[in-house]
Amino acid sequence: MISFNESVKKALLLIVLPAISLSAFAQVDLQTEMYKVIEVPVENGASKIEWIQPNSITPGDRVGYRLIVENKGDKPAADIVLNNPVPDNTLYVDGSARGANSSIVFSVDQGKTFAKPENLFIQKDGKKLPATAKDYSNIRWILNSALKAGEKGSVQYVVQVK
Amino acid sequence: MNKLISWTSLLLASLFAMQSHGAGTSAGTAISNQASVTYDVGGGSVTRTSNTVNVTVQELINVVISSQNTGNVSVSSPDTEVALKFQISNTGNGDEAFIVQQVNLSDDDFDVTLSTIYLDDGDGVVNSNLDSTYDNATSIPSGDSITIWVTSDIPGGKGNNQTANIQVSALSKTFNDDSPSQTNPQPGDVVTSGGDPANDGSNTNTDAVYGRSGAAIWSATFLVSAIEVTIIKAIGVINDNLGLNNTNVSGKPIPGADVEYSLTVTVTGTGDATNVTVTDPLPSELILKGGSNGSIFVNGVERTAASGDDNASYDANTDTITVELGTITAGGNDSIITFTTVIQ
Repeated sequence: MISFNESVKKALLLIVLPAISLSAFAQVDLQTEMYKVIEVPVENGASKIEWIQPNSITPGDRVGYRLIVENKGDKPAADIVLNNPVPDNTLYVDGSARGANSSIVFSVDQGKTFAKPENLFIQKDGKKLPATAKDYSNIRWILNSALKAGEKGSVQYVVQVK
Repeated sequence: MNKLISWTSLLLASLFAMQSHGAGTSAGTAISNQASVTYDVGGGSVTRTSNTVNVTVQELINVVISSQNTGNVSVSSPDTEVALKFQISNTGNGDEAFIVQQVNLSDDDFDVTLSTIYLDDGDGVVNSNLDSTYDNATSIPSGDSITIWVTSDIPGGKGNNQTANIQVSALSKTFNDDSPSQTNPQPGDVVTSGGDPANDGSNTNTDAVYGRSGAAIWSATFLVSAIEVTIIKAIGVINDNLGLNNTNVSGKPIPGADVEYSLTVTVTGTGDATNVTVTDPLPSELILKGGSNGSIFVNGVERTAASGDDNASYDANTDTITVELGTITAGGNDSIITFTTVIQ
């Protein structure tokens, strides 16, 4: 009969082994978090923005995504680029993409090409028109410096459910 | 009497159709998001994906009620099944049924009784035989509309210009049926699992979320305009002047024959009809017998065809008879105008 302690050790072993092999392979880890973005009234008619649990999402609601990148390896990770397509049935909210120490570019052609907003154009009725936030199909954050071993960073953006 | 107030404005109909759309992403749709990262730790570019986050769009309850009844609706007293036409548009993002209610408001003269609410059968005309009774449970697909007729009975004995204010509302059946019933939900209120099925493989229903237009209200005013004046024209004796003493009262309408006409003016409802004037432009084949020297009988009293001397006249130039009956109280005796014409 296996004692309680032995069984726990075995179970721990089973859990720890794959975790080690994964992290050895996974130098840089990316996590996506999702929130409901709401406006909460405060005094004097002003309001503040809060990111809360994404319950009861309905058309018109705003959903915020936070991408957390972490270098879990022992070497610095350079040339870090984060990519995220704007999810189906949502529109990118103008000006909502943030990311410290990064340059943010957008795509209006499903990620084939990226550019700053002022350099994005769409074709409509044979005319070349400046693209607007609702035209963005993909967002890209290009981190300006390497992520050192053990370092963590995050970027975010907000969409509105169509 | 079945008074119906119909509207067939295609322009407005198309406007509402446009409003109905834009209900947003369908309830139950899963919104999925997965990001990726590329990096280089010295051995070349590596790409990794993040976890996938999913959120299922819940059902937003929104409704718009519309009607062409923007002003007063004229009714008689009493009257039955006065029908007001409404369009109920489901502007939410899921299927929903709406409960239609009518309430009497205060600050008016009388209350009406809600009779029947009919679901229009598609012809846009109220018909108690063809239109089914609205069951308050007809599911309206997202973006669609139904046409209903809300009919009211008007009590008797209400005088001219008396008013009844009513309010017709459409309420979410999901919120009404919740236990306990949510009769006055506020935007953002939720009926857990009260929405359409989720399409995310979870075999669950979405929540129903009360929207900013979760209930719709339309106000209308019934105005008793009790007076209704009807006029009936009939042919009386035809004398073809071919009989003994130039009389043949069952004669044929031949040239030279005298044809007697009667106009019966009836005022129904309550109150007074003022300035009642009857004009009868005769066809060119007829002239008043005697022309400008002829006679017109009003309630058996002979009046001259000349104008200005009494309340009846005949204008030979326009071949028109005019009788000014003045004020007539509804429900009183009919006014009967008779005159004889000659076929030319």
